[in-house]
Amino acid sequence: MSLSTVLSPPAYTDIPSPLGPVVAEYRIAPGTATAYTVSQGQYIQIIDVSGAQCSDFLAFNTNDYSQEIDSTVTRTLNGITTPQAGLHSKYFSQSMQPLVEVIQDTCGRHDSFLLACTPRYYEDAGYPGHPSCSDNFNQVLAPYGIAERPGWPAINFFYNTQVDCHGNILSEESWSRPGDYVLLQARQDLLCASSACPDDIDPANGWRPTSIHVRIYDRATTNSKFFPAIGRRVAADFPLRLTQDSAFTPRIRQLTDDLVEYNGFWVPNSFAFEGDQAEYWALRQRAALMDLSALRKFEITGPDAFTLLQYAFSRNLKKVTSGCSAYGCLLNPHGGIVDDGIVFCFGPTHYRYVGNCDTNGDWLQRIAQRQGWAVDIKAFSDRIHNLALQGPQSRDILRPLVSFAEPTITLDNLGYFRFAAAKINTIPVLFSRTGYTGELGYELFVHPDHGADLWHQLMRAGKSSGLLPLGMQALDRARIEAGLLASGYEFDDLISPYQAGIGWTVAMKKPDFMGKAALEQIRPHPPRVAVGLVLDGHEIATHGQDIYACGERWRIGHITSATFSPILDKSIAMAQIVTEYAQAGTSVEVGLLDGIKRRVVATIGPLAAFDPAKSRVRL
Amino acid sequence: MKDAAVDNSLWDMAGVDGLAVAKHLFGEEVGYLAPFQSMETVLEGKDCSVLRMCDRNFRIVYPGPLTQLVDPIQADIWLKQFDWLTRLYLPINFREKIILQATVRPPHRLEKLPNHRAVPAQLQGIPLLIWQHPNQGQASLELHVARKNLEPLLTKLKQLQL
Repeated sequence: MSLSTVLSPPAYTDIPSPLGPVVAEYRIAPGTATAYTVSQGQYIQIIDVSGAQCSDFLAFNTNDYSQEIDSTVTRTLNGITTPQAGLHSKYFSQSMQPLVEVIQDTCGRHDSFLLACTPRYYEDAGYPGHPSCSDNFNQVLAPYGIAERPGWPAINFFYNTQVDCHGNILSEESWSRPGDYVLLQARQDLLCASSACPDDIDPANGWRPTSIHVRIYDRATTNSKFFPAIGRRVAADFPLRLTQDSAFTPRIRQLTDDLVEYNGFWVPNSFAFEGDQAEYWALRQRAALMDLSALRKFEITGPDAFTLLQYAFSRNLKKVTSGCSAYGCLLNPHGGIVDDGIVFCFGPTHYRYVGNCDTNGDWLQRIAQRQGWAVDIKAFSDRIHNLALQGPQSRDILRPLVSFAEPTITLDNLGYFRFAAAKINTIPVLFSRTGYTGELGYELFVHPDHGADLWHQLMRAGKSSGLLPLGMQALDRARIEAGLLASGYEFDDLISPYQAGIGWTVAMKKPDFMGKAALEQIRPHPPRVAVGLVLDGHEIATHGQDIYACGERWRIGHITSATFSPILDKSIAMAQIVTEYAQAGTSVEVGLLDGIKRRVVATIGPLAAFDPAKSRVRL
Repeated sequence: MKDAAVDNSLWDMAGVDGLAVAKHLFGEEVGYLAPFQSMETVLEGKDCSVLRMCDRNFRIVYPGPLTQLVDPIQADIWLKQFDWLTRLYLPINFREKIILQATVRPPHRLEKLPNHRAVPAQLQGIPLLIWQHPNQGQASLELHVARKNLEPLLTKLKQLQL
């Protein structure tokens, strides 16, 4: 290992370009470790050069080496196994002082449970004398007077471990790709040590230890550039995507520090001095404003645009004319839900699909190519961000603000699932009467350049009506009450619309569409069907809990989502159960805790426990 | 001696039926509160302040025998008076000084703390709950602090000229 200060062009071409001016960098050879100091505020970028290489990390307060990262303290204070960029980002010492903070992480899988590899591990495996990260740390820390340990409780970056349902800690090859990195910020003056793990006797490093590269950036020159972000990969052939702000996020950050990563965006969980219940009641009784920019938008144009969507999307789009939209799902050949979303019709050769996944456009493109259809599909998510203004007073709040391009359209005659070009004061928007809350409401699609202004104008207009911004916690509560699906909870690509509770969106009379043959088989007797549950008592179920026939040991289904409904004053859930128990009024048992210790009786009802007739959205 | 230290007006209530009991006692309005929001009400003719601590946890300032009102409900909750917790009031005009001196952990905020809100905070290392709500009709700050930290807190407040 060598220390070199880089003054001009980066010396290393096998790793991504530096994030800013580098003040020091270290190439850690395979199977070795190095120690280095950083000042409070400086950034430490730990880069996996070749991929699949673990790098264990230690940090000590330079003024008191007894203050080092403590994983147990860190896990406890954050409530998660490994800190992530965002609110729960800090690694703490035994005295609960933050030592480093995760600013960016492009891998997302690290270990905070196990020691850095130890001589004992190798000895027990029959490799006495094998180099270990713990021994390497002992060597590089000795000059600082830090006593040897048989094993160091390190943060093991890129080390892929997980605890299985039996409590076993499993280890497999690292998820990291070449160039993946973790960017930390020192919260104190620190002595750090990083390793390039020598483990070649199991898959942890892909059987072949490689190098780790550490770069140090100075706070003074780079602070504003290093925004918090989590790197996500949605498909093997899609680029890494870092968490981004929407056009509204700068306004939202003025109102809360409780933001979470959701589908590639920083979104508010709840708002300062308000909170879940207060925001929820604003939605149900007055109005609430939420940022739904994490939805993905795709423009589908061309002579075969209709043909493509009529085939790929579950609804019959013959009935969806210009200015109309329809909720449904994209399907796969076995009838599974690729995604749920809304198709907006601008004309027979121009549609917009708004869904959840970056891969939707690619999926539609593949179908079009296979069928030889002439369409152009463009991802538009970066050009259109969207707010939803929902609640019984949403129309009244918007009335003085909105003007439609088409003079015959008014707020009062714009029907449910209708949309039109409009202006909010002077801001051009696509104005859609849709939502995800079970309330009267509107979604406003806007160019990001106008986002901050639109947020401000709507918040100001709604102030006297008691409008509140709405976070994800309250939104989740509302959508469960309304029986609205969430990807990964109510559906995935193995679940059919009939199981998810949106069989009504499948236009079986269409002559042909993706997955039709499979759905014809599934429709008469899906393996499970979606129902709503009202639980006795006030305990709240959770996703994945099992449902049993009353008094029986065998399962009949599971909870997909659950919450306490303030407006119903009931504990409610969405569930998927076998058809034999799906009749309304049937009593079942939800297995809380371990499924044995406590069972709570629940009654089957409609998927939407609140306003099942959807009368409020049609006001 | 231990009992003598109990603040007879300060109650904590929690349990599976915590919200249901709170609604029974204080009305539906209590269900509209989010954690760390509060309301003022009258219970059995006496002023009562209710602070929601969590989904099903509440802190209540009530000078009457709350146990007698809760026991008949027969719900799955506990009602306690902590002998290790105490409180003190500060006039509202000390608010800005407190906000300048105290710290909070994210995502909590202290700046622009509205009325009927509370926030867990630290004042030079002493943990406390700062609760802004009316006291006898006057806006005020109520500080909840571990009894063992009361004297150190008072000393710090004096040092800070609060």
